[in-house]
Amino acid sequence: MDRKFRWISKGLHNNFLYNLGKLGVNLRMKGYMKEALLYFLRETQAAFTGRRPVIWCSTFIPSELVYAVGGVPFMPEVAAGFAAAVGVANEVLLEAEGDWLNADLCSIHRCGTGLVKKELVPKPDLIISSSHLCDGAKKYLQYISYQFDCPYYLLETPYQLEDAGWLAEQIRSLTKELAKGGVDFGPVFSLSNRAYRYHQRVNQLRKAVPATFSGEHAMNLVPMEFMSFGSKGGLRFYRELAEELEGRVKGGEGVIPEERYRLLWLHLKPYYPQQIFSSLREMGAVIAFEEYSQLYWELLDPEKPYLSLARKMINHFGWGPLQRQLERIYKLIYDYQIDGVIGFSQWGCRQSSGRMGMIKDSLKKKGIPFLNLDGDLVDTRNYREGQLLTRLQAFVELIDEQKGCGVC
Amino acid sequence: MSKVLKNKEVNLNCSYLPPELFAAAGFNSGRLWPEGIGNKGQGLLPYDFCPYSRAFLSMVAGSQDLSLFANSCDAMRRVYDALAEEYAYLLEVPRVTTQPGYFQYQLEKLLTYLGIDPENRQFRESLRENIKLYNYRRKLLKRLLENLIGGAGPSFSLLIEGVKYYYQQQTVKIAGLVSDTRLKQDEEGYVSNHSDQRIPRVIISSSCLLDGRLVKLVEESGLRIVGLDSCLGERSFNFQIELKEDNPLESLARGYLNKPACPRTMEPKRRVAEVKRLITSRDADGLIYFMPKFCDQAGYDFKFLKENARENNFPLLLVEGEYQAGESGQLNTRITAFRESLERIK
Repeated sequence: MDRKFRWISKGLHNNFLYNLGKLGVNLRMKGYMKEALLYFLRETQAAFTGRRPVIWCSTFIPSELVYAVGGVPFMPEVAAGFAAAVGVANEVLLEAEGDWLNADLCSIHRCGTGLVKKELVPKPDLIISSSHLCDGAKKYLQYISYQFDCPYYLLETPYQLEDAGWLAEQIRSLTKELAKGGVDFGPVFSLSNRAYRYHQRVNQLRKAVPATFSGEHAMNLVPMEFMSFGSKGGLRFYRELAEELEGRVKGGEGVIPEERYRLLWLHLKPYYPQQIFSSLREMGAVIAFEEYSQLYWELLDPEKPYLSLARKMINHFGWGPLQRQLERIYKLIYDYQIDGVIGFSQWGCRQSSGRMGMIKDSLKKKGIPFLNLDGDLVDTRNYREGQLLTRLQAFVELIDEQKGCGVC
Repeated sequence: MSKVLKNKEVNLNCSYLPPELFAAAGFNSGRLWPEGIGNKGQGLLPYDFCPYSRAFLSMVAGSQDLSLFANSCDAMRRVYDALAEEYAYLLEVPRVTTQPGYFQYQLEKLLTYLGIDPENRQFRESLRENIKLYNYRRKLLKRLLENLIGGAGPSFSLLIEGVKYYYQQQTVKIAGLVSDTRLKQDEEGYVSNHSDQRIPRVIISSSCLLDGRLVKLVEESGLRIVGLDSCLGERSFNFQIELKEDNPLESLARGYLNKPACPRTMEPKRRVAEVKRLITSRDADGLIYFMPKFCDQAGYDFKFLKENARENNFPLLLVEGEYQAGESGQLNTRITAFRESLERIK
């Protein structure tokens, strides 16, 4: 391991640095960003310094399950995004590829494997993954469990909601195994449901025109969606965010000076520095909403904890019948007064990019402009800026034409 | 809820889907083995996508036959998505062997969808008979496999032919292949040709072999194939269903979950052990792993096998490709180089 990664690894295990970071955040920041950063500092510290059992999960495992059994969730897919944001993802990817991980596989998962090799992750006490959404996640997490010689649990997730009982039973037996004395889901579900209501409020406020919160920024905060439900930090974050957006909506303050086009973003965005969003801003386009911020699940019922969690998993917009995802997209288009839709096709992602052609087909029939943007969430080698910006420009021109001729 | 189907034809996509179930239910099932990617439905899937899925979609798009999908991988789920409004059914197949009860429940659900009462006495009797019949076909194919491993027959491609006959319920043709290979062994001296100890013996492994061209290429490169670990090979038939007279559906569920593991399963230790057993029992000198482009299951399956091969210092060649990969000159060169390295080791 080279010196840079050795230092990063040391830093990640250093309690003093976390405490210093928390002090700095408390003194200098406020609002929802303060809560988000404090949440990540606390959870990362707990994971790297062994304060609570570290439970690695694929991103679509409900974090409530981890909090209920007293663990700290660590999601290597989220860590891959951070690696891209701080500019080390490519080196990490090369490490994984050198170890026989094919470059056609999802870069997020390759990056997660590379992070293990670079020792930039906390040691897992156990790993849980679900079989839903993508094949790669369960496979690479199982592989990593062999690397760490730790227990691995698979939650087989059925495609149809009517089979939720099978998944509920798996969650029940997993919980029984992890917490021999039993688990009280009540407090965790209460935190999750309260955060859910604030999140609902946030989503409601985001319907305002002009948009008061950019989708680009919301996608930076998407790890809160994955990890924080069921924690106090998650509740504080969504409460602060709702309060802040109330103020912005009252003030009629938009995120771009002159909002001309409102866009819906499907899937996630590249986490390394790029020009996509600044170019859109310059053209007067705002990401008014993004697929990952929709509340696709129902409030959790402490009387039926296993079934509630199972339903949350199966209800994910990227899982289950395509028609359900399409209906949700149309609802978002209507609710957020969307002029056009951009679908980001992550290289190596068979679940999301695999559906883009069908979504495009459906939107086209209804005359809704759609742009399928090929790229990579973490691997800059698959980022072609010139080509991408040209396509964005053409797309915005198409929307402009449609708006002008009154089709939309 | 049962579905009103236009006809009684069922297209299968996976070796975990039991053909005996459809035969017992009065349906005519067949495993689809496209020879390439057609034009239909192609705008719906990306180009950097599993070739088998794209080819499957191009074959069934617009058809009124029922396409039955095992919940096997993202790519097949996307094909199911593309067809969902037409005639498609997704069957949950557990990824571990410990869930036969759930698989049985899913098979019962499928039967209900097809309008069959799983408890119907006549159906159960028919299922028992069909399990016996398919066990017999599997035995025949196993005999064919043994003949081919023993050096009888001109090419391992006959096994692929046999698997296709198996899914077409052509018992006589499978039996014909068995007797043909036996005859050739006796009369034409293939045994002596193949018993040349200098010719390296290899096993071909894959998530999905796509087509039979790779088999021909490997043989033409001077290697002797002694195993075909693919659903277009042994994984479709190299097992027997232990029939419980009182509950044939349970027998079916248990038997199929415990058949030779495929890369989609989540039991890599079992999978690696099975491949190792193949290597040892067939006295193989090397393994050729074919990875269809953009196949995640194969990507991780290969990683496990590669690590194991490295630990055991066992020669393993990775080849990637789409349909007609076996006609690639580059691949030919690589396989020839692999043969030379195996010859040096021998």
